[in-house]
Amino acid sequence: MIEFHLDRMSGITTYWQLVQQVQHAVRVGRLKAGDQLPTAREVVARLAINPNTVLKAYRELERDGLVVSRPGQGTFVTNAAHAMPGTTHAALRRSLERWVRSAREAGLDNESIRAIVSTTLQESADKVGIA
Amino acid sequence: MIWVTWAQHRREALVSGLILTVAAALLVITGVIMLADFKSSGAASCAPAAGPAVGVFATGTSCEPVLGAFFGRWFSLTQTAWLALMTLPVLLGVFIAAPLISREFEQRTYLFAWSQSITRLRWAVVKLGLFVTVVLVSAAALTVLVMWWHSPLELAGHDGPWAAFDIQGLAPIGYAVFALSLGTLAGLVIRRTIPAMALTLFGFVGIRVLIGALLRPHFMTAVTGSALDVKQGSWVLSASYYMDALGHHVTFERVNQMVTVYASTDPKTFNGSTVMDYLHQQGISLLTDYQPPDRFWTFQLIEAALFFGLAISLIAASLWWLQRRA
Amino acid sequence: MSAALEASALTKRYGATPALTECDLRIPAGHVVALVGPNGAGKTTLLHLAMGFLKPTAGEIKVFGWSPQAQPTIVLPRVGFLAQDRPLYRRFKVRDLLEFGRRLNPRWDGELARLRLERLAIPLHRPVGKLSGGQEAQVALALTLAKKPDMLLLDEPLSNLDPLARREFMQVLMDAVAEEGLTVVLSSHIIADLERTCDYLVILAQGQVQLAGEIEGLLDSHRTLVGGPSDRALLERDPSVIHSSHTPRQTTMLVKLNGRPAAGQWEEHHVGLEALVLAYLSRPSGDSAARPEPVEPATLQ
Repeated sequence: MIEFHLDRMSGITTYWQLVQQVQHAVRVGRLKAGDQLPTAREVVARLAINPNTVLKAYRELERDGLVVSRPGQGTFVTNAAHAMPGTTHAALRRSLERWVRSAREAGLDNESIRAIVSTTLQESADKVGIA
Repeated sequence: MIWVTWAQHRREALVSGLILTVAAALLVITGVIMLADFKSSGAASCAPAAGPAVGVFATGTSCEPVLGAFFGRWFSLTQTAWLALMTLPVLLGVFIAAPLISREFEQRTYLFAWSQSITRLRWAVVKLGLFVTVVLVSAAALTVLVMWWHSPLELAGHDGPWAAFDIQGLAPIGYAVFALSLGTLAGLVIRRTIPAMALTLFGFVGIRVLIGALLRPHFMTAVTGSALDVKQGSWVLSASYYMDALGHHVTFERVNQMVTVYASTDPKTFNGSTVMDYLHQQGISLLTDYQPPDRFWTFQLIEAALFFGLAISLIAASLWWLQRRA
Repeated sequence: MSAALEASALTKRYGATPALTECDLRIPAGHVVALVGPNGAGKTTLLHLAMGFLKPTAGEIKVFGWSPQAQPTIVLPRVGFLAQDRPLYRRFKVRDLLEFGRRLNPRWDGELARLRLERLAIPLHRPVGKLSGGQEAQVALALTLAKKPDMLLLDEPLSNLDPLARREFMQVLMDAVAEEGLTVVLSSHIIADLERTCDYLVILAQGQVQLAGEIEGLLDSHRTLVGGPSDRALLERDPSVIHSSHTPRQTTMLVKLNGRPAAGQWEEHHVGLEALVLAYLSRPSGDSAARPEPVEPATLQ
């Protein structure tokens, strides 16, 4: 069972953090098809967040096809959700490492690197219409 | 709500109960001793004989010294008891009622009480109703005990029941309920303990003095007549000039002359009461304003009614304030 | 469906001092509402009016459609209240307070309250005055919840609590919301506490409602814009500019959009709850949310 955590300082809204954490867990294989997500009450009792936030996150995940909610039983990871193949993950990691090295050689520090990454992500998200 | 009131004010109830129990015990103990003394000293057999026909400055019987001695023995006790009993309503109003109510607001616990599913009015009515009932019953019981305790003194004394007007009969019950209602209103309106206590103290004492000293003598028009006609057990208000048997004014100079003549005839037996006896034999007495003893209970009713009326008005004002203030 | 809490032209004056002036509010049921504003803004007055402890000077307030002043027997059982600084009868033991609540409330779930307190290891036989701040807050919350209300009004419930106690309080509260679908109105002047628990916001300042609405919608309809130097006077007159700050090189402002993105060379950033609240609180007095719709963004240059 996944356990959620919240990063207050990240600037990312609570519900989006929950969504991301589920997506990430699926990607790296920590959540498999058929696994149950914690109930809204369990999440709320631990994190002290608004129940609607949890419900909203789970709805988003359901819309993306990652999970399905069965009334009276709970919310479960679907078969359609699959971990990113290990090879893709590793390949992306390697190309990122190469890019980071060139950025460092160009004289950028960690903060500047993060700024570029954030801006790029934001712009690409805006273009696709995701909040 | 009844349980709630008891649970919240257990402490005050126990303290009050303790004070009353101690007071009652003291009254019983001293009363028994006093009664025994009354009988054994012969004052008891004297007292009924000092009946209605004797004037204010009655003399002549051998009872007078016996009664006088009895009084003298118990004088300081009666003074102490009278003072103590007079302060009981003050304690009730100033130290129990006012702080009890004002604390609820000072500590803001009224917000907790009023957010339960009970209306403000019901909360106040049940609380007040309980307090008034307890005070009425306790005051009545104590007053009955005081009347028993005071009875020898009453028989032996010139003033009869009037001497203990403030501590027996119906009046003390009125004082108690008045003190309770004054403390309650003060605590409710002022909402801070020390000022509420001060207001209750000054208000209570002020009204008591106003009614007791200024109004009471005039509850009924005083009887005016010769001091010779004043019955034992009357309340003498004032005495003015001397008059003769026909009701004519006798000047002080004339009286002085007569006294001088009398003094010269028998210097040995000359004293205050023998002088009065002599004057009375000549038909000369003081013109006196007094309330006869049979008016005692009427006066008690009037005084009690005044204080109960005040108490009712104050309670009504408290309830009105409670509803309107919010 | 009646709103959980509704105020129309609600005004309250203490003698000559105004506490609330012409407040209009319509809080729907089923939300956790953050009532924020500086000290003295009127938050406590609003909550006390909702409970019927005070009578409005003008206007009216309704709880689930009922007047708390006129129908206290209907309103009081449905609303739980926790006053500022949690005034409880400190000499009472915890279980005495539970008895107190049982006798004075028609719906009372003492068992659940006892269970909650036992789970938190709060001794029922101890006088409330001897409990720690966090324990006291839990007792007060348990008492309020045991009443089985439809709405909770909490006046600065987290004040004087350490971070752990605050979190435990919110855990219990949010759990109750999840289980029972309570409406909660939570007043505070510390916004960080409210950010992840509340989904509806009411900003009260100088006795007036500055802003009210679902947090998600409000955050979506506001942006922080950063750009080059601008005409300060022009911006200050623009009603859609909530707050602006200027340096010779840069202007930063928080704006209310009306559906369209701002024109021109502005860097756009999303707005967080704290930034939104601060911007509205630092507006000069006299502005209120009840103004005509903002002017076209084209005026922003």
